[in-house]
Amino acid sequence: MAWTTPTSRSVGLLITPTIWNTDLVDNLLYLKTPVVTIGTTYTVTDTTSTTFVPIVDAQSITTTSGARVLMIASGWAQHLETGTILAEPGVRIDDADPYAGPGARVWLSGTSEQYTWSFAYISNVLSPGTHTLRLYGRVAAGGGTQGAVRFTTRTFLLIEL
Amino acid sequence: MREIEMRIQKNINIPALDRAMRARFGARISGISRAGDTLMVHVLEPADGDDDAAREVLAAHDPTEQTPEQAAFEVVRQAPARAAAIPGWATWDEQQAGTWITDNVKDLASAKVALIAMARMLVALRDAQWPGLGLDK
Repeated sequence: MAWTTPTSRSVGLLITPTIWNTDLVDNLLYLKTPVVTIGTTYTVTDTTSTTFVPIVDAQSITTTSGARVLMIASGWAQHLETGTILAEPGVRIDDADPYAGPGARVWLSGTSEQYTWSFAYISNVLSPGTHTLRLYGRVAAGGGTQGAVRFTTRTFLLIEL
Repeated sequence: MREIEMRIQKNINIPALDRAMRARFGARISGISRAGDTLMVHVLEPADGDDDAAREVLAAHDPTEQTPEQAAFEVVRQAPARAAAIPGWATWDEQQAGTWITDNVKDLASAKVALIAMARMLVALRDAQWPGLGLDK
């Protein structure tokens, strides 16, 4: 079932069963059951990269006309070295620039220190069809220290709005 | 950017391997990543021979060799145990420490024993407080 832009009515125009069922029934049912992709998971990626690199496989969602996608992701980041570093997850749509990120920033200042991260992202209106969203991560030096981070992703879901 | 992917068939010390890769590739890489049994080298400026170079670095990698930072952290981790191993000094309160010195430090030789024990405690405290103090940053 897809969303159909409802039609305006004016005085004297007949609302047929087809119009009613499309504009109200079908559209309300569509809103009640939006397209959802629930990705994984329990994905672990260790990285030292200072540029965004994939930390989770891409998830796909098929949208209808005029739809945005809400992405919700969460997990935790663990410091694998010493010194102060930043762990930054972000997201990319259809593997195209620009990145929508960093979506979160986690300061890690001690070996094995770990903190949770989570962020939500709403896309621009996407063209109808299948789109992929992929989580990326990178390490940013804090206080001049280069480091390694373990990104664990626990939640990664997509909802068509 | 180009990703060089390699299957990992041994343990990996990520920080140490990262340093080895950066020593080989310089600023041409942004770093390395590991997901499961796949290692990726993120090459910003690809050049011929990169794949072979990455494989050589991985083949030569010894995961038991620590980076200076890892070695410094190991020293920090062991500091409490080293302090606890100094007889008496790990548990005495102020009065007990003073009493021991009064009763036992009689000459230069016995003073040296006390000084050495105190030096061991100071070194353990230094290591716990300032890990990597001597590291070149």
